[in-house]
Amino acid sequence: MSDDPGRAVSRRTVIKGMAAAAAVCLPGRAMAAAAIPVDAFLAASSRLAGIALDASYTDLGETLWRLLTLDGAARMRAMVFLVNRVPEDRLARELRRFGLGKTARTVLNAWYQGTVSILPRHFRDPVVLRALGDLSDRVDPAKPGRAVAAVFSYDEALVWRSCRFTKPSATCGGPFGYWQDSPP
Amino acid sequence: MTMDLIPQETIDADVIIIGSGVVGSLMAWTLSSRGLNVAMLDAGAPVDRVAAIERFKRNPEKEANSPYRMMPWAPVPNDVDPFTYYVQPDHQSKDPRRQIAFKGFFMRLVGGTSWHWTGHAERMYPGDFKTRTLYGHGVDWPLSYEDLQPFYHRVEETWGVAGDAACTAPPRDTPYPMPVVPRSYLDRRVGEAGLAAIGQDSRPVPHARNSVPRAGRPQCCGNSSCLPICPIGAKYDASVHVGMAQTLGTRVHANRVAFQVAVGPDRKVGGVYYRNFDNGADGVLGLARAKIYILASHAVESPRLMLLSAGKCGVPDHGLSNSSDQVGRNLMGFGNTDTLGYAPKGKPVYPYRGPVSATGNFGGWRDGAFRRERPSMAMFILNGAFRPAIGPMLEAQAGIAAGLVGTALRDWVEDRTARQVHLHGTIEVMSDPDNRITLARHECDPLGLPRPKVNFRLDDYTLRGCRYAWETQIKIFQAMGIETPGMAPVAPTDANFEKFIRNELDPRYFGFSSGDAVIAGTARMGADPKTAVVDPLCRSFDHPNLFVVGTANYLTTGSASPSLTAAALAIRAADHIADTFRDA
Repeated sequence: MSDDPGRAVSRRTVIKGMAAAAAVCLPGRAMAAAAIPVDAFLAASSRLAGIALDASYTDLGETLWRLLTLDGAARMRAMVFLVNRVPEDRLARELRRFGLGKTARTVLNAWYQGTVSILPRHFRDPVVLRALGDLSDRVDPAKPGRAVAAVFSYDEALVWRSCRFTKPSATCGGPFGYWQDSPP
Repeated sequence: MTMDLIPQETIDADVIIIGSGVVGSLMAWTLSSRGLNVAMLDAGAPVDRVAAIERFKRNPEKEANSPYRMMPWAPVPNDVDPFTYYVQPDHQSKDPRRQIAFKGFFMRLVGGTSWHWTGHAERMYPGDFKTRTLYGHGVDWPLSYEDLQPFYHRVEETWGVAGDAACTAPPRDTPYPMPVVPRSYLDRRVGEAGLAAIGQDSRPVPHARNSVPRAGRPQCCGNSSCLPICPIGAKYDASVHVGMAQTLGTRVHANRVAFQVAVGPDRKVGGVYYRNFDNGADGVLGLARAKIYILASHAVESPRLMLLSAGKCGVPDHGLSNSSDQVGRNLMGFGNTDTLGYAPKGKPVYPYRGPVSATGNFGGWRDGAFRRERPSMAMFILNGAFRPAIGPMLEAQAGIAAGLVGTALRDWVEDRTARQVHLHGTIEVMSDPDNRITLARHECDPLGLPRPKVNFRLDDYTLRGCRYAWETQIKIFQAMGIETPGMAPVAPTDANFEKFIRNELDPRYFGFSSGDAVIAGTARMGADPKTAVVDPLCRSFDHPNLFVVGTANYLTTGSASPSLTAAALAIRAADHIADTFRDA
């Protein structure tokens, strides 16, 4: 993945854009759901992950956006805005500079592992129920408020595109004995 | 016989089998094929393979039990924390000579633990049956490799076992039913290092996994998930013979938890009480009655039922078939040595391809005169590398935590994953009467039945084998140029070995544990009723119509995967039952 936007951005531009991005989604979930910037989110995810996400990822991207913005979309929108305007070689530094590293890591972990972290207070949210099913039996009784890890798509996790020599477990890998040789 | 419980339902048959795993299903099939009326009870539910795969994918931990829905009435050792079921008061001990956490996993489902077994179909070695005579350790079996050989062959034919002369295996008088499952690219690269470091190349392993389409099951296509579940049924599991037995008339009753055996004044077993959870959590009381009873519930639940039955319904106070005081004793499980690391940069080995547990191993220490000094050991090269199913994800987590993004992250995850190497040693543990399963009287399962209490430790003989395995693994790693980022190389010194067995070395690269693939020895076989629970045909010395069959009968385990020998004992016992049934 190297589709650099080819233009650097100034701090002033980014802050202005981030503010605008944040403003349209405030105050929280209702507006976030009303305007899911899925194309921009996929573009930013592609740049963060180093793996191109084409239109076939639209549904997954929309689901992931909803799951990651259950508590509001402001930081996510700001992160998307920033990532889509910074060259790859400056991405890590700029994310740190704008305090968006944690948000980016959350997105990356979700895409690479096909897994998200969900707080029990969101378990009855229709978005969660539709994408992840009933998670109530995953709660640790000793820590009832702690978030649980939930898989939204094992097979589409990006590790399997990163590790081109293998496939998701429980997927046929090839003809019998393919494992004898190094991958083509 | 005092039947002091009033059942609400009954099951009547010629033969009642408790447990529907590898042993129970083969016995049911054999006995049904001989015209006997068989009913098989299992505490757990049937498994829907498609639903299990979906559950596996949905579970973020991807542990051995992840695909399976355990029923609350049939609890098992949890694969994250087995001590939610086992009660082992000192399991956090750091000194394995005093106590070591027993991590023997099993499942209570129709088809049993075979659902998540490795698929390794290994015969024990001739020397495994006479270790006392040959090597001065352990106990001799009352039968020999030659006695079992025809039954090994029958199991291999009906399971479908793949292998060839290169496999790590004892001498055999018949060819394998299917061509060998070849070694992986990873196996061959590690084998080259083995050849340089210890004079041994890696070798293939006999597998109960279709290398060609056979018996209505497809050829393996390397799904890399066989532990915990083969999505296409290319790997054998006991659901195959559950189905074959049903076709011949065996009735399979799932969700029936046996909790009490009843014995009559003639010392014969007269019934098995169970609770039926088909229609909810209340558990309707039932009674299963037959001429012959078979306990085939592995090496924890069989002795547990025998001890639970003590002092009630005509069963003596010392328990069912326990005049020898050997029920629950002599628990055996492997010692496990794990070493992990990364092949050198630029030399990927490509794990996560092919059967996930192992297609290759170093096989030079299964049997021989060295067993005078140290036990049998096997060493496997794990295609599942650091963590089957989620190893690449853990690399991604680490890369993301390190601040990598973009193509740097993508390439880092691939590079690190492609270089993972994991060697897994399994070391024989000889029987010790104080290593045992008893009942935790005050810690009960959801049915109010005492949970199994475990006492387990390793002796110096076993630890010498663990030391040898650990040092050998280090030698192979050194020959490969294995890297351990963030940890300095560990020299195989006395002090470091002590740290190793106390699990004080870096847990990313070293692990020491016990249990693993074998749970055995808790209803031992023998020729003398004073020192054994069952005779060489797996028949109780105390109750002439009771058979206790499986790894519980083992006197030694060697270091092979245990299932094939249990299956051979099962067919041998089933033949005897069918041959003598009219006299029963």
